[in-house]
Amino acid sequence: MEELLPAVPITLWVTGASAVLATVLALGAGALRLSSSRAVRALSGAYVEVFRGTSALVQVFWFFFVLPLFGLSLTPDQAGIAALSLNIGAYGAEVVRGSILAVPRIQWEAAVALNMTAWQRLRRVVVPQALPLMIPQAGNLAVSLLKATSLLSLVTISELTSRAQAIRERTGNEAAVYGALLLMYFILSLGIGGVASGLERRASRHLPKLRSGRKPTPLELPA
Amino acid sequence: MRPEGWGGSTTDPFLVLRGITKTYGSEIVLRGLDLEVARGERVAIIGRSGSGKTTLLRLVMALERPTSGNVILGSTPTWPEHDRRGQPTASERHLRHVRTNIGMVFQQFNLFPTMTARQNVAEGPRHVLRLSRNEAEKRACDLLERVGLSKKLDRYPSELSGGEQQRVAIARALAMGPEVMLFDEITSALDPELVGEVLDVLRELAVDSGVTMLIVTHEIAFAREVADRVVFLADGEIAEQGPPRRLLDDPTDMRTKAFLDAVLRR
Amino acid sequence: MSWDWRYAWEIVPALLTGLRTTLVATSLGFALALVVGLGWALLRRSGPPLLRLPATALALFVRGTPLLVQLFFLFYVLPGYGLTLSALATGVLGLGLHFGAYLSEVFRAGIESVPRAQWEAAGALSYTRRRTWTAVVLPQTVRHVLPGLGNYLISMFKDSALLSIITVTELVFAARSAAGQTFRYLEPVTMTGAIFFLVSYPTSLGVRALQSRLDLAS
Repeated sequence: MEELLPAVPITLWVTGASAVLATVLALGAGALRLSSSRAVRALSGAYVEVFRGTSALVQVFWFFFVLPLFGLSLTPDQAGIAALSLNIGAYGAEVVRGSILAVPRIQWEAAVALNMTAWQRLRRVVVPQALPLMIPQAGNLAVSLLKATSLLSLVTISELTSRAQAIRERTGNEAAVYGALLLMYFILSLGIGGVASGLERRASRHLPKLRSGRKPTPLELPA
Repeated sequence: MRPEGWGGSTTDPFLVLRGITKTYGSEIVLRGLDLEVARGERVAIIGRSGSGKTTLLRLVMALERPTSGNVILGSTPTWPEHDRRGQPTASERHLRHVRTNIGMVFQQFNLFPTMTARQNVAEGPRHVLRLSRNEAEKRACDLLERVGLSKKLDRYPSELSGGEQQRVAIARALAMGPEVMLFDEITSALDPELVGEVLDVLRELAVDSGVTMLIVTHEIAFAREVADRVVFLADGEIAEQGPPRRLLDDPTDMRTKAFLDAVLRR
Repeated sequence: MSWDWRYAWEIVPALLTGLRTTLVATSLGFALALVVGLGWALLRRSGPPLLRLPATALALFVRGTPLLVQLFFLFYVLPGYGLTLSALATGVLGLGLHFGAYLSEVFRAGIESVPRAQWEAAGALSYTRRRTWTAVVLPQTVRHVLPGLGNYLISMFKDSALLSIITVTELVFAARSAAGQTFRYLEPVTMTGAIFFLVSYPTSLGVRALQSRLDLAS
C-alpha cells in the first residue's frame, strides 16, 4: 500500500488541474446556455451534449491518438487533462445551468427592479444563491474526475493506476495490489466529499432553509 | 401639485398607460386599459385576484411587455419600437434608462439573502448608481433609520421578521431615488400582526415624500385613508375609479359593489 | 492528415459487430444492476439491522472507486479463487455490481419518497408486509425511479467502453484492433465516438421527455 503513495501527488495534480479547467468551462458554458441568443445557446449546447454523450475513454483516446494528427502536439499529461476537463466541464455546465435556474424568479426580478445589468445580476445576486445547490453536485463531479484519472493509465500517464500495474507486474500479487488501489481511491474520494460538505455549509450560511427538491445524495453519478 | 377630486384626466399627467392590452396565449389579462396618474398622486389599485393588478404593475416596471399599447413616463414611452410581430419592444438599454425612475416592492420577500439589510439597501446605489462606498452606506443607513430599522442594519434577511424584511425592501427601492414607487400587495404575505408596521412606513411615505405611488392592496381601510384615488380593476379593465370616499362608500358599478361587499364582510 | 472515407467505410462492419457486443453487455449488465440495486436498497432499509450499515458503507465504497480498477480486480483476482469467468461475464459482473451500487441509491430515494401516510394507510387496512410493498409502495416508487434508471442505463452504455481493457470484443476493442492493424487512428476513434453519440443522445432526449411527462403527471 505504501508503495502506491508516491503516485498520489500526480493523481491529485491531474485531478486538481482538470478540476480547475473544468470549473472554468462549466461556469462559462453553463452561463452561455442561458444566453438570450439562440446561436450561443446552440453552440454551448452542442459542446455539452457531445461531451456528455460520448464515452470518457473514447474522448481520452481521441485526444491522445487523434489530436496530434491535426498538428497539435501535447504531452500525454496535457492531452489527458484536456480530455478530462472537457468531459467533466460538460457535466458541470449542466449543473451550473440547473442551479441558476433554481434560484427563485423573484430574485431576478428584484435585481431588474434595481436596474442592475445582466452581468451584475448574475454575479451579485443569482450566483451566490446558486452556489449551495452547485457545490454538492460539483463534489460528485470531482469524485467522478478522480475516478476518471484511472483511465489515463491507459495512455502512458503515470498516475496511481499505472503505478499499481507496475507493482503488480513485479510482485504478481493481484489481490493485494488492486485491493490497496481501491482503498486508496476510496480514501481520496472521501476526502473530496468532506471538503465539498464543508464548502456547502459555508455557502448556505445565511440562506433560508426551505430549499425544496431532493438534494443530490453523495457520490451520485451525473448522467 | 396634488390634484383634488377624481383624476380621470389630470392636468399634468406624469405616468400614462395608453391602451394597454396583455394576453398570455388565449388568456386576456388586460384589455385596452387607459390610466393617467399625476405627479405625486397616490393611487390605490384594488380588485379580485386575477383581475390583472399585478400584471399592470409589472408592465409599468417593464418586467413584461404589453401585447399592445404603451406606458409613457414623463414624455418617454417605455417601448418606443415595435418588433416584427407588431408587439411593442425596446432595447435593454432603453428599458434600464426607463427603470431608473421607478422603484418596486414585491409581495414576497425579495431581499437578497446573502447580504445584510444595510448591504441590500446599499447595493443599488453602489453598483448601479455608482456612488462611492461611503455615500452608498450613508444613504442606506439614513433610509433604514427612516423605516425604523436602525438597530438591525447588519442582520441578514433570514434573521428578520416578514414585516422587517418588507421595510428593508421599501428602503432598498427608495435608495435609488425613484419618482414613481410601485407596491404589489406588499402586506398580503405577512402575518396579521406585522402588517401595521409596514403600513405605517407606507403612510409616512405617502404624506412626506411627494413620490408618485401606485399601491396594489387588499387593505381597504388603508386605501381610504391614504390614497388620492382608488382604481377598481375587474376582468382586465378599469371598472370604476374615483376618490376613496366616494368609491368605497358609494360605488356605482355592480362589480365594485360585489367586490367590496365580499371583502368588507370578512 | 485527411479523412479517408474508403477506410472509414471498410471498418464499419467490424465496428457494428463490436457494437452488438456492447449492447449485449450493457443489457445484461443493467439487468444485473437492477436486481443487485433493488436488493441492496431493501437490505439497507429493511434488512437485519447488523447488515444495514455495512451495506451502506459498501455501496459508498463501490461508488467511490473507479470502475476500471474494479474490473481489473475481478478480472485478475477471481480466477485465483477458482472462479474463472469469460471476459464478457466478468465485464457484466463488474458493470452490474458497480452500477448496482448507484441504483441502490436511486431505489432508496424512490422508496423514501413515498409519503409516510401511504404506509400508515396500508397498515390501517391490515395489509401484510408483502402486500404493502407490491400493491402500494413499489408502484409509486417506479415513477420516481424511472428517470434515474434511464440516466444510469446511458452511463453504463458509455462506460461499457472500459470492457475493452479486459479483452471483451466490444466496440472500442474493435476500433483499436482496426487502428492497430493499419496505424490509422483518426477514423476508428472518431467513428466510435460518433456511434456512442448517436445511440446515447437520442436516448437521453427520450429520458428527459419521460421525466417531464412524469413531472407533469405528479
